[in-house]
Amino acid sequence: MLFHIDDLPVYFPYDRIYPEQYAYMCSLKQTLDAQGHGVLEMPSGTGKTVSLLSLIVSYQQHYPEKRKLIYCSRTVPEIEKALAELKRLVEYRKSCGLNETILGLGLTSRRNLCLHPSVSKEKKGKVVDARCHNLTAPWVREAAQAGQDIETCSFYEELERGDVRELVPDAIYTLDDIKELGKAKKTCPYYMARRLLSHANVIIYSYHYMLDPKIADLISKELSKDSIVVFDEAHNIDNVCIDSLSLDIMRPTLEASSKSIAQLSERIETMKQQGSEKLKNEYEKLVQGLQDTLAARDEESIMANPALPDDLLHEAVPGNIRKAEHFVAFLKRFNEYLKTRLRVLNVTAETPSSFLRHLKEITFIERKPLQFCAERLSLLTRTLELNNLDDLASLQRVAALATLVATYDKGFMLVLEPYESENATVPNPILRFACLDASIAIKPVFERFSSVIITSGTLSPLDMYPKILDFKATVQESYPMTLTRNCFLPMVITRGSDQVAISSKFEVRNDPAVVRNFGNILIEFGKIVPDGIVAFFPSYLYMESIIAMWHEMGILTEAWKTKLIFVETPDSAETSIALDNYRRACENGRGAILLAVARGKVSEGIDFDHHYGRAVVMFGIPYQYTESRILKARLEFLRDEHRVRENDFLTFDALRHAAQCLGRVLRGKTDYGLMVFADRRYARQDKRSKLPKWINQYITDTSVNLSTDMGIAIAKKFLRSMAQPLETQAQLGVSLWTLDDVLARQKAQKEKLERVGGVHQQLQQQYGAVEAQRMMQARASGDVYMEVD
Amino acid sequence: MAATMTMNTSLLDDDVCPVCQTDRYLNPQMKLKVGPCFHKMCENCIERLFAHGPAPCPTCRQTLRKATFSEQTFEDLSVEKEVRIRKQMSSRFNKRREDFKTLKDYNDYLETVEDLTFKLVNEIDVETTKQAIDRFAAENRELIKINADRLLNESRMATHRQEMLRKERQQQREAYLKELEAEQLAKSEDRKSLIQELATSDKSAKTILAARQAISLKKTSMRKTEVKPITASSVGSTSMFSDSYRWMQQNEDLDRRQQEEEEDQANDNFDPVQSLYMDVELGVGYVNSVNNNKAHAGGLVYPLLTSSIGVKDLYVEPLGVGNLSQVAKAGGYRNAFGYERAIEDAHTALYLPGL
Repeated sequence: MLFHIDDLPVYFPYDRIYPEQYAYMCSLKQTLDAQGHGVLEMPSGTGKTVSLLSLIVSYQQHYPEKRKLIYCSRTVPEIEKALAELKRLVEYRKSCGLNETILGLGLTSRRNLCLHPSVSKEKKGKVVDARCHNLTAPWVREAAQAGQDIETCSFYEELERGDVRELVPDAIYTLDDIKELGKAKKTCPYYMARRLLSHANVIIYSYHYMLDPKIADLISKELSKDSIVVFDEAHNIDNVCIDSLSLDIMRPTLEASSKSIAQLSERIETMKQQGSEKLKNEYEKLVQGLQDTLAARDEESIMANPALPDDLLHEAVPGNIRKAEHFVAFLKRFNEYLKTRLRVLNVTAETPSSFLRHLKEITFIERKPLQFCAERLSLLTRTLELNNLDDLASLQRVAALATLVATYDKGFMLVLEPYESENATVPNPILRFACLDASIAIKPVFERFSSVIITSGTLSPLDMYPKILDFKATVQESYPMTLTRNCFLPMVITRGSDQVAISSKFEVRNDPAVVRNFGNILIEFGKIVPDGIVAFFPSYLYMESIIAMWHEMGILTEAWKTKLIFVETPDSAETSIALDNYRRACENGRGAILLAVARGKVSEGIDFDHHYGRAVVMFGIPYQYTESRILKARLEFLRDEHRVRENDFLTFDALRHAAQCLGRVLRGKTDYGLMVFADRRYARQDKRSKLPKWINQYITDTSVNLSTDMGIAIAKKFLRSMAQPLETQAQLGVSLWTLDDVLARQKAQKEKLERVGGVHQQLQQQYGAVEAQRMMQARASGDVYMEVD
Repeated sequence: MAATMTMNTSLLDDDVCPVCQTDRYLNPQMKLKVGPCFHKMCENCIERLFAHGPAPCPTCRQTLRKATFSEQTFEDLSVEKEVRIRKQMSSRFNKRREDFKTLKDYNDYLETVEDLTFKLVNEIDVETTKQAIDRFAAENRELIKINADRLLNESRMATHRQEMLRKERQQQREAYLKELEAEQLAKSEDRKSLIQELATSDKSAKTILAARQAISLKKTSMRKTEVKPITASSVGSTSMFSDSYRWMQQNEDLDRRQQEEEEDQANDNFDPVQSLYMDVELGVGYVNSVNNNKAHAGGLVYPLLTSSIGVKDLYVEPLGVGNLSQVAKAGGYRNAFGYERAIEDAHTALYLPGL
């Protein structure tokens, strides 16, 4: 359908639209017009992606600036879903008679896109990258062109021959499409996609291409400033930011990097003996401070600087690491120093500056050359024309640590943990360089792009994200869900049928009474819920101990009578088999129970729509392991820097994961399901207020403090009413709008606006245009905040 | 952190003393040490071989003493050796970026130093290298001394800063805990009074609860707006200052100077706090001084840039010092307070970028 938001014609590829989709688009447009950042929370399964794409594509095509859309998502399946949605949208726009050229494509790793007969068989992403590099590195290609018998990649050569723009007609390419195109034209799809990024109107790829400085520098550097950046499913974005600047170093890493250092110096020796000019050239250029010219062709480089672009030093490499052999000795010293640090058998936590001081005391390594470490290493590997870069991975890590530790001081912490777990007796030391401040990695994105939109199904409380990511949101909004029938029922079970309070609190979590009551919930719901039930636990450890106790108590055999039981494990292959069988069991017979873990693979990105999940049970509150040193340091940092209290953050984090788990059950308005919060602490206001608005809205006072038997009674009634057939007609006008509804709504809105407009004119007469504008904006934003509250 | 750094060699399981062939399995307490010739030996062997004064190393026949053995820091002995050489080198080659006109000169200098070190480590042209090093040391004796002093000062300052930071954080934490505690207390108090009211008042329970709710909501929003800045800035800054004050008091030799200064006051002599920087010809650098005569006027500090002129010549009397002194006295300044600030500023001035 086609409708207008203000003056913007929006093409929406379906005949009906949900009211929240319309509202979402309006806020989006507001954000884009203001060229600001936005935080938008929209119920899961209400077509967030399609409304986002259709509005932004319409926006892009309507205005002459043609702002590029960069859509970042979390996993490959999600990227594919978004691409498919985009493709449908563009086809719809064409069928409406629009004559426009839109180039949209997705980017993923070489492993998913490679066509080379042997390289594509490799399973590990790193190996594919390294082998690809071996075939496409400039010196390899030069040697091959000079007639030497060296293998190159025919697909890449083909790409080099022609112009990418001519090869690829404007259209939308899903990941499969681009691969097909590559096959047809016999060119490399990965590099094709990468080179097209600067021409594309819509780019869909993973967060990492935007946030991880190592990759972002290679891939996203040339994207224009007025691009619209969207982070979808962004509830975990702070963790992604932190991970992209954190590093772990272990003993084997150091050993491997020692080996690599030895290899490097050998290679330097042989090169010198062969009288190669290359080292000398490199040196000369460094003396003149021209390392930038050396790094000119950066498409091939797969070793990038781990620091953020703003923090890179644009000056000559310090004199003491200019010569290759000096640099290798330098690396060796640093590496040996790290080894001595790993020998320490007590836990230490220190700031980067104290680390640097000690380093200087012991090894006389200064900060400056350390900062250049990663860059110098990538230069050296290029000069030495090294292949098999995956062998150098450990050394790269060490160099990355060197650069990061010397570049950043505030918001970082070095923690050395000698033992893997608390009761381990064999030391397995690990040095963690932990980023504590999520805003550091994302800062360049906010600074560079005028509009960044963060959206997900679970972002509550909304003001937390601007705080921890340190940005100002022009629009932040959470949408309630409009429903014709209450198709999901959240309930808080606080005690068992025997009135014993249930909780996953540390003191009582292994109490047999609590465990039995948890078990009873499972058994009872197994009896009344048709098809699939998914049950989430706070951690693997707790799940294991509970399952063992259930086994002893005979609870598993009892549950077995009604449903099959499957378990998620840390191993992803095992889990996917379990999931597959769970789905099969849901399609046949009496259904199944899946025991999973919050923060695990199942809780993120796997949907349990319709009969795959009729009930989700969250046993306990999924708090993080609070004794972890890094978490403690992060909490302290948040408290000192962002004024976020420890408890607030922990609860926020636990509840966003709980909401994420429970949100899995509902994928659309025709779906229905139960959401069971099984912990007495959920009844408290401070916990409930941190749940997304659309869930909170349906938690009634009668369903917040239930015992198991009461919960069962309510659930029975709910399921019985939900099993009745649902007429689409009934939804129309309430939770589903046709074009007429949209127009009616707009008319009403307009009338309201006219009333407000009168006020505006008055103000204008009194205070002049600019001031009036400002005042109106203040009013409008005031309205927005009122609604959020 | 150097203090917490404890070397535990027990992780190196394949240790064998090359002299007596004892290994870790036979003697779990065995400690290997390294001599100046970079050959390992266990402590027992060292005791035994060097009990009667200097003796030759069993491996390389170089004459050694017991005192020259030290614990091994690095697994790789070549690095151990390199670091020792670097230690010697760094005591001489301590020029800084500020000592050079351009960055390129500095980098060239760094490279020559690295070249010399590299030669020493790999034992290439040891004699000529050593000569070159000695020549350099002789040429730059004064600068080396100045830079060494600077370094000392800087490291002292860094330690002090670290300490201050630590204390500040601790204070912040304490303040936070106190705040939490107070909140808890208020809450329980509130509860008590609520129950009291419910028990005694003749209003309906509903109205009482509603009134309470309104009050508590107000309180939380007040807390949100109010508490924030208090913990943020004021606590931090006062603690910074008082901490630095304490540090000054602890810092003995500075303190002594300060006392001398107070005694010298009557003489009206020029007596800078850091005599180190006085009367030295500096290419580019800072001279920090406190003019004793006027210092009690409020602790004024003039970081001066000298070329070959004495500090005294450059001293310019600030305007209105006399008035200032009145004001300062009225403000209750003690002299000592002024000096402390002076010293503090003198130290921070070291952190200005090169001129």
